[in-house]
Amino acid sequence: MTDTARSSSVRTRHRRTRVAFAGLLAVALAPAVARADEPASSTPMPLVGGAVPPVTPAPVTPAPVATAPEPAAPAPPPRPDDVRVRGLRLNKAGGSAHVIGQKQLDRFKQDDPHAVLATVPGVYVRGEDGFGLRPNVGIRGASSDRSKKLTLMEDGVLFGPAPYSAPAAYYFPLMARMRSVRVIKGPGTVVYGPHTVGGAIDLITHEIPSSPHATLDTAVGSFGYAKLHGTAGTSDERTGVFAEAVHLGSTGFKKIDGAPEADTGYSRNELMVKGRYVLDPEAKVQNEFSVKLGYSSEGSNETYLGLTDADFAESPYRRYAASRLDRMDNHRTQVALTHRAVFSRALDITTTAYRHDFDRTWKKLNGFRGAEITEVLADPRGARNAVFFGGLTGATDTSTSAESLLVGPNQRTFVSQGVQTVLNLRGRTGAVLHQAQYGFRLHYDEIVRKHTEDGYAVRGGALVSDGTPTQTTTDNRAYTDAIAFHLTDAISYGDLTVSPGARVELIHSVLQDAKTGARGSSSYGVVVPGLGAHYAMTPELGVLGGVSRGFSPAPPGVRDALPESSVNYEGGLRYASKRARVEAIGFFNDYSNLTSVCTFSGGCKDANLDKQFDAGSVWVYGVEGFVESDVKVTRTLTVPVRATYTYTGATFLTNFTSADPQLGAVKEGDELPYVPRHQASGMLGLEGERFACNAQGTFVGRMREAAGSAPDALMTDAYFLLDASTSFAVTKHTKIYLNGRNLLDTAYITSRRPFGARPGAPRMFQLGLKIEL
Amino acid sequence: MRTLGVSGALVAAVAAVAVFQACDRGGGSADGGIGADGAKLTSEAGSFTRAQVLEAAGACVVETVRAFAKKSEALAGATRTLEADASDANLKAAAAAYADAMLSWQRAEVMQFGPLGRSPSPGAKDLRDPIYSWPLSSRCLMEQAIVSRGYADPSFATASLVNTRGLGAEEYLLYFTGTENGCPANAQINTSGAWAALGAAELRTRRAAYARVVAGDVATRAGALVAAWEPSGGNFAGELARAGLGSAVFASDQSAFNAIVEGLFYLDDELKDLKIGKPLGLNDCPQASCADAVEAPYSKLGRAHVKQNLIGFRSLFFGCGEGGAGLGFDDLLVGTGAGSVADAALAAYQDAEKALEAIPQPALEDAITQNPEAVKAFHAALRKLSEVLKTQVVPSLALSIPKRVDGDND
Repeated sequence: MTDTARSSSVRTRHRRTRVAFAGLLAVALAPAVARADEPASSTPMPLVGGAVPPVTPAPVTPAPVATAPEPAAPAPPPRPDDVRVRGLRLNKAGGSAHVIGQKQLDRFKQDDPHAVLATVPGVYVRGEDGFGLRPNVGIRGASSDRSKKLTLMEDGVLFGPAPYSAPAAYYFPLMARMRSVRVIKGPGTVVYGPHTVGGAIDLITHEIPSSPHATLDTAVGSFGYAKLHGTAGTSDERTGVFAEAVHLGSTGFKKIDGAPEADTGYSRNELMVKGRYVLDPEAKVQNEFSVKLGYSSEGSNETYLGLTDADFAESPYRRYAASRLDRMDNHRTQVALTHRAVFSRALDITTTAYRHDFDRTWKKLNGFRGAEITEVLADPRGARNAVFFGGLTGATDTSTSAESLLVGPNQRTFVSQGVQTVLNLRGRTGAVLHQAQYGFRLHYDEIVRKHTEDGYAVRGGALVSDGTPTQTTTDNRAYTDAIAFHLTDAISYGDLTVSPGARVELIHSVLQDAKTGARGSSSYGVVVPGLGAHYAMTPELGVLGGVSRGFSPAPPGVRDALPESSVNYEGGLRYASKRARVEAIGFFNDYSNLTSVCTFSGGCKDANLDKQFDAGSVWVYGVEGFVESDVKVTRTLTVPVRATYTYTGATFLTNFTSADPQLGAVKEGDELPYVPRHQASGMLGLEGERFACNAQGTFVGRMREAAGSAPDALMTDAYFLLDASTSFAVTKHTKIYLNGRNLLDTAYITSRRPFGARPGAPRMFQLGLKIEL
Repeated sequence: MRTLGVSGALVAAVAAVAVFQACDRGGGSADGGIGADGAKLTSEAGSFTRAQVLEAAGACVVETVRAFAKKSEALAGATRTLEADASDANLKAAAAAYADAMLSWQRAEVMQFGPLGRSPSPGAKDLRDPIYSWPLSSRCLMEQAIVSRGYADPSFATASLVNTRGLGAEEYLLYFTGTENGCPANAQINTSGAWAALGAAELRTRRAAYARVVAGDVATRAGALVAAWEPSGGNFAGELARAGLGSAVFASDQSAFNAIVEGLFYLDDELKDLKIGKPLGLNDCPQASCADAVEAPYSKLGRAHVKQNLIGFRSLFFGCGEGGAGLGFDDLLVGTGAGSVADAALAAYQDAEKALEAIPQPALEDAITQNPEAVKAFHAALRKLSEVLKTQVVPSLALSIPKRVDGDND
């Protein structure tokens, strides 16, 4: 298909979508109109109210004062592990969604988000530094590169540094702070924009405790691992407060040529404070104000430089001398102010104003003046490449300016701010139950890039300035104003629940290049409809299906750039009882335009950074299986079992050539890069009142490093990781634990992007002590 | 063939006929446009096919590398004589043989495809850099080899880095007669006193021996290069001629034309940017002045190199005969109805030649410091020719711009 034809096809779909949206709008508004006449004391819904709020509210405990007027009983907030899609408990939701609850997170205490998310069916991960500092996560074929195609949230608020203008997730919250992780796929994603092609991930932090509560968790481990994690909080009927501090660090598992004692690890710190104030606990209408403040910092001696395959085979945890100066430093602040008004069990509204500031400077090897690192690493013995390779390893001194190493402190500052409101309505029209949600978000984000490079020569294995002045390679600012609103309604009639919904995104973005003086802007709107359905054949067993539109915004300032667009289908069976959940869901994502946005981490050249490359029509299809149960062996003994499997096929439907190195010359039938055909995980444990022993295995199939169909093409390694954890409660308040990661000490290539083969983390152990008061 | 001075009217008439014929056939094949189906094309060179253009290009490269191989043998002989007797006369003779070989090589620089190409280009054998690795050259490493006599190691020609051998090293060894070295003061050869311990005579002797080793290796590799192209060897010329007709390297003649274009863009990337633009401070010059980035700093043959590069370009693009006679890309353009593009290329090429001739100083480094405007005019002419290549020739023939040129700084 030609670009013109492709554009025409996509635009035709846009028009069709708008027509469809008008119909959906009418459907969605219907319950609201019907409900307006209903008394607030309407019969409680069997499906329990409380649609997913943007920020999980703390428990509100009204004081039972007999003489006071009866306050409106607020809808109980969902538990952190209570996954709902459009207000429905998961077992009734017409869409795929998963939760990793506090119990599961506590079992393994994984710090690496990849390790947590790889156990969710349909979620793919691509490691990079071995610690998961900057995760690459994709869902159902959506590119995993820097998780930029996902809607990422903390407590319902977008946490990416600039989710519209620069969606690459260079910041990812520490998993240690999280009480649960929710992954929404299928039609439920239309609630969580802007990216709906794959899905959404919402990380839920610790709630304010209802009584005085404090914890201290400290651990040490392999490779200088150190963790110190403390929480404290309390609340009464009117006020609540909670504070949390985490430090994580490691001296790293890689050894730099010529500097084997050098620290190749990281240090991360996160602080969070939450406060809550209920205006009048006895009022009929509950008004609650809350504040959330956060600070994060990271210093990591991380690099984009990997190894040749031969060197990886010999010593996978080696780092070449040219990466010696590489270091990332970043700082982030966040503030969120929330007002929640609960008018009745049938009506509540939550409004959050938020602002995040993120500043990062990553000084790292970007390349040579006269060669491409990827080409040098691909053939390090080539006549010409051997000269450059000697510079990378520090084996030979630099002789010409072409061999100079370019090390760049890529500085970027981000702002992400906005106001979002979610209104939940519950009611009935005759025998038809409604759980509707209306949402609105006014958002602004921006990124200011100031990338410079300095030339370094190799002298005796060390890097010294080559005497050239600093060059500015990128100096630009991009920003986006976006208005988004969504409306959904879960309509239940008997055993059938149908959930139509739609999201509207109105986006205006600008890119200003200070180097060239160029300015580009674009404005567009998009409607993202979705429809899910669930039919309960028995109280536990149901069949579900859904269709929704996938959308991902185009990069800022590119006029006529087509956003990523797809139509996503899914269908399957779900069994959910008190102790077990089993799912089998098939999905088919029909992309009319898959896009890639070039990043350094993806291997793109400087000239192509943040440019969008269209990849045309693509099919992504697969099957996801999930089993989870806590089998009670005796009154005190439980055997937790959990297994997941995902099969994915992902092929291009057109021929084209792209400047994105992950794509290249693509032929019809070629497979997408970095999508494993098979991925599986399994967990088995034994847990008693005072002890727990759990083991978990994760298998990730090999992934193509670039689009293609040849069976012998360059691929990442397939790998199997075995983790285990055990804990013992020494006293009522004290627990010791031992975690083992990658117990088989599997050395595997996670990726060759952007510069050579990089390993996953080797075998590690962590010994910890947790005190809970 | 674009014999310099062809009348525009004749070209236009031929182009019109070609266009008419093309239209009469209802256009070209899906891969490569007019003539890709083996049909006859016409230019002032007569009737020909696209395969014949490729065959002519292959023959041109064979002729060029044969000439270089012969001269590299002469250079090897001259350095053997020099090693036996490092007299001034023998050094001068060896330097003359070097200049002869190097100027011959500079024509082949524009022909970096096939065996001279770098992996993973079609038919690549990475033979260019072992013969001439510019801009990669390490005087300090060479001087370390002089101290250690590393050049005498039988594996030197295969195990040492290319920036210590090839024609680049030969230039230093035959033209630099100083007794100082280019290594930093804290380099081992200086801190140990090993360099200082070498007297001028010993230095001369060792440089002569080193030059013999390098020249011998260059001659050997030149022979391998010829063999890779000739029918009796790798027959890459045959692969070009059979492109799309059973070639094991080229599935289509279009891919073969693209390979040749990869070489032709030497004019943009290496000649315009590296050899002229960088010393002028116009391209990839991070310092206040990059005048020392000029090619051939010891022999001061940089300007002569450039002239031979242009001749090499002319041979491949317009035809390998005298003054550009013979089949070339210009004939292909005329034959496919793009005669005006052929004219534009010819005019731009002639302007570049004239601009080079207009530089008064014989040495490029002198011109850059004394008469930069003249050198800038030459650079502008090269840019014009490069633009014609990128924006007219490549699109007219449905070819591809090489990746390395795609995102340049123009």
